[in-house]
Amino acid sequence: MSDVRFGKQEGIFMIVNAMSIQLFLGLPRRMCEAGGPAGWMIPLYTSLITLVLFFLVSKLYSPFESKDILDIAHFAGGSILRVVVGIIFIIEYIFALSILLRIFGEDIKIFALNQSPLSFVIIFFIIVMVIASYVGIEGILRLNIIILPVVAFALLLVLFGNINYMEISNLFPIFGTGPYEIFVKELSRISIYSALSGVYFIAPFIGKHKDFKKVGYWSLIIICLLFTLGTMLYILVVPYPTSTEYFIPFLHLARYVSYGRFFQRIESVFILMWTLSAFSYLSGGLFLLLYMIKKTFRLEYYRPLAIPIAIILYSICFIPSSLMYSVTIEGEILRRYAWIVTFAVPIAVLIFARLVKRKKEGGKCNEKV
Amino acid sequence: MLADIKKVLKDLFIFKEPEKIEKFILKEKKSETRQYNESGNFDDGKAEEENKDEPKSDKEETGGEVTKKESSGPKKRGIKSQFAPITKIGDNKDKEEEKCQCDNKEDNGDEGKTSKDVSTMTKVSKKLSDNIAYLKYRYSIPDSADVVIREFNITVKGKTIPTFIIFIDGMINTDILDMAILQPLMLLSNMEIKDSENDIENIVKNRLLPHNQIKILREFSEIIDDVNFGGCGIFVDGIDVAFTADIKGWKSRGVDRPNTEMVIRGPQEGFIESLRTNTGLIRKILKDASLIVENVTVGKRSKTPCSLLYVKDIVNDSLVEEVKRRLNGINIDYLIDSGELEQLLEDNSFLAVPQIIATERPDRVAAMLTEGKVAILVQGSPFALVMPATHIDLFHSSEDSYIRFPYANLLRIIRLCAVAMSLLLPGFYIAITNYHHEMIPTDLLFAIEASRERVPFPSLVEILIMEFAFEFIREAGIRIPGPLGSTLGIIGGLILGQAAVAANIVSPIMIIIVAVTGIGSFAIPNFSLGYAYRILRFVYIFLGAVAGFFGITAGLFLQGIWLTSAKSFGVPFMSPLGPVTKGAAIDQVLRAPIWKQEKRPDYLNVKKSEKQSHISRQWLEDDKKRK
Repeated sequence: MSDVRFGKQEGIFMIVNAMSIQLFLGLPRRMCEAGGPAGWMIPLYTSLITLVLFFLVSKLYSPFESKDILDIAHFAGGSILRVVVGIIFIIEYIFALSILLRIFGEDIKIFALNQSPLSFVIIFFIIVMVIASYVGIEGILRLNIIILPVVAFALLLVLFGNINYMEISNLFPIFGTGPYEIFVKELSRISIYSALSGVYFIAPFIGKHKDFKKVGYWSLIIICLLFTLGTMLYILVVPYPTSTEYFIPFLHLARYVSYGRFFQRIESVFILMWTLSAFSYLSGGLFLLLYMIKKTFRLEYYRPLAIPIAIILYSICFIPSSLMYSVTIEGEILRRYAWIVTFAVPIAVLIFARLVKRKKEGGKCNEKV
Repeated sequence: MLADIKKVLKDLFIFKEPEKIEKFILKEKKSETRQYNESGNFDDGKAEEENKDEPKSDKEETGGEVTKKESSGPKKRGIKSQFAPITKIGDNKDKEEEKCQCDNKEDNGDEGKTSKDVSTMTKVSKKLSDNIAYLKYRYSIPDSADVVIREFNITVKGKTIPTFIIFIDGMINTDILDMAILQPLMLLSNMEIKDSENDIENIVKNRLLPHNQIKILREFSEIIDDVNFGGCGIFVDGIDVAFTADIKGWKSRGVDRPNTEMVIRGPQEGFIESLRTNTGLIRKILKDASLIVENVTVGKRSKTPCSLLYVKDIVNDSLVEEVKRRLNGINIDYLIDSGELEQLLEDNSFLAVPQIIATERPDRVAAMLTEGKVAILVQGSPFALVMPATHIDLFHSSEDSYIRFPYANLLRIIRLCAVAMSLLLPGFYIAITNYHHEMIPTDLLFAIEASRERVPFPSLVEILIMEFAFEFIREAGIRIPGPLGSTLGIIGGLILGQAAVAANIVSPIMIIIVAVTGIGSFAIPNFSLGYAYRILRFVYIFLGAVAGFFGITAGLFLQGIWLTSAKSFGVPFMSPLGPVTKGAAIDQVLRAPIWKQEKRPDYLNVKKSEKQSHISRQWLEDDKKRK
């Protein structure tokens, strides 16, 4: 894998796809639950905070060009720190992937394959994930570039198709459930950008530090716009508190789209687009997980792990007793506390690594490792 | 049996250490390496100039031999290009071998021996009888009745010298043989030659063989190769070399319209089976001295002549070397057609779509050569192979360049829709009717329901019946000769379809689906791609039946992964979409006006990326100045 390289555009598309998948799940609904008609403010201000955090990360990252977080941890604290950091990320990724696998499967079962057992639906995801991660990250990233514009087109279709149903009055009261609820209690919602942790592992593939920064910043800016506009669109069409009841908000928005008697109920086409994005996210996620395990434990190959890890994910995804429980875990645990793994751990490791570097080189801490 | 099954399962599921295969990567332009960028010296103009200043090819640097090269800079991929040292494959120069200066005793080992065992001879003997005996042995004369040996005498400087010629009847032009070989040797040799030259070999070569392509050879293998390919071998007693003359004259069809890529606007010439005629057709279009036509021979027994074409000062040298390496590495007995060669050269035999473009059109080959691609022509095949190919290239037609860009874009969009329909329409129909009924408008739903009411089969079985019937009709139509074939196809389709509907085996809407699918597949410009999508269509039918849109999406994703990870001679197969390279909007997916076609495709890393100047219509600038 040392010969794999890709550009910043591919990196941006990968991170954007990984984060944007939440828009097709329950993000707009969760924002409405938290902020009411002002739920659109939450992604906006949390993205600003995330940009500041990423600015800090990128500054600390500058001497470690083309190194991933595990290499930095190894530099800072040897094998022990590398393994500890690696295990933290591995656990987070396993948790996220298995929960989202369950949610994707349940959603497909509800809206498309009602008669099919859940295990049958999820096995499709598993097969695609294994094959895609086996093929490698290059294929996944290149396909991302083709898929994302298609998904963006679908979103625009939903946007323009719902123009007739938008009501500005749905945005009032302007601060919804109150500034304290929005700006203080929901501060932990910076976890909705937890997929940004992928950028720490694709740094060796991207190469240059300035490209690494561009990937991070542009991904965050695009996602901020996407989440804010997506949530705003949802609130404009579906007023609060009805907006807290729809399980997959964008699917319901797609249902509203109709042009005459012929173009109606096109949410199945929306499922097609959304599923492509889900496949891309899960495949990329599994690849990064395998890559993490390979680097953490200094394995020579990652491909033999694809099937066993996929089976583990498949098994774990059935642990939650129901879809509601899975959604609760995703919303209240993953999307509240993942910021610790995405920001706190890397910042701590980077600060430690910088201190170690300064100690080793006696003050030349800005030179590249 | 059990052991075989166990072995198969073991191979499938137990991880094997991957072989250390270093895949070919197209050498990058210096200006695009990371080191170049990091030093901050990146400049388009300078890069171009530097490319111009650099030696043009490895051959010039190393005096004719190809050396191993590594890519440089931090973007170094860690792969050494391990192209096998390539010896000169062959050239078009007349092989003027010097007369052997060595002692007669050394190289005339056969001479002077009392034994007549000629089977071990490798070189031409000075004794004519030995040469005749050897050739009779090699060609199994008189068993091979079409191999003709004609013995006669020539007179040189007053001396009568026995001579013979050997040729294969049916492969030579008898008029040229008589006029340019036999007549001069038999008759003109009697004339007084006003030359002080006394050497028989030189006299025969310079005075008695007024033919434009004469080779002087000593090895029997080379002489036999030439005779086998329409040449005539001339042996003269007393000299240890033979002459071969190229007098090919077998019957072949004339240059005609291409069968598979017909266009309304554009040249109507297509390749034929004759290699030299085909190279001539390309040279007629590209009158460029930098167009190189290298000779290659493939096949140990068939010794099929092939030609490797490229434009020396445009093409990426590593691409040419890789093509040569693959050609040299083919170890087969016989090569009959370019289709076989395509299968032997392509990167992945199991990829559904072709990775090499096969075309019958010289103008298309010429256009692709000017972009920096490499072409191969095979003797006996009217299809040229051009590489590398991307998936987008397979959707292009040569007509796109000859018509105005709005029409070209319309045709491309229609083609894309046709391809999408041929691949996905049956699968979508199955998915919608089985899983996503809510998508169907109510009126249409009633119509479908009414038409399917009496059909006893599920829609999956219906569509499979009709698809197979359509494939049978298509295949049968090809096998039946003449006008009857197409007529039978039409009548068979009409009658079969109508009868099937009347018998309530299938619904009328299914006939429409299958017909539209079939027409869509005919709209695919690339013949091989049409086959690929015919196969994949069944996969999507199955996926749609099993899991609706979800299954189709899974199939599309896997196909996408498969294609994006594939390469064609080092070029990612889905360029310029994934990875994104420059020029995607100029002539890849949609076509910009011709005066915007300034750059060659970026993914080829060619030596000269600019193919026309920024102001290609100077007359427009002059008009502006006048105003």
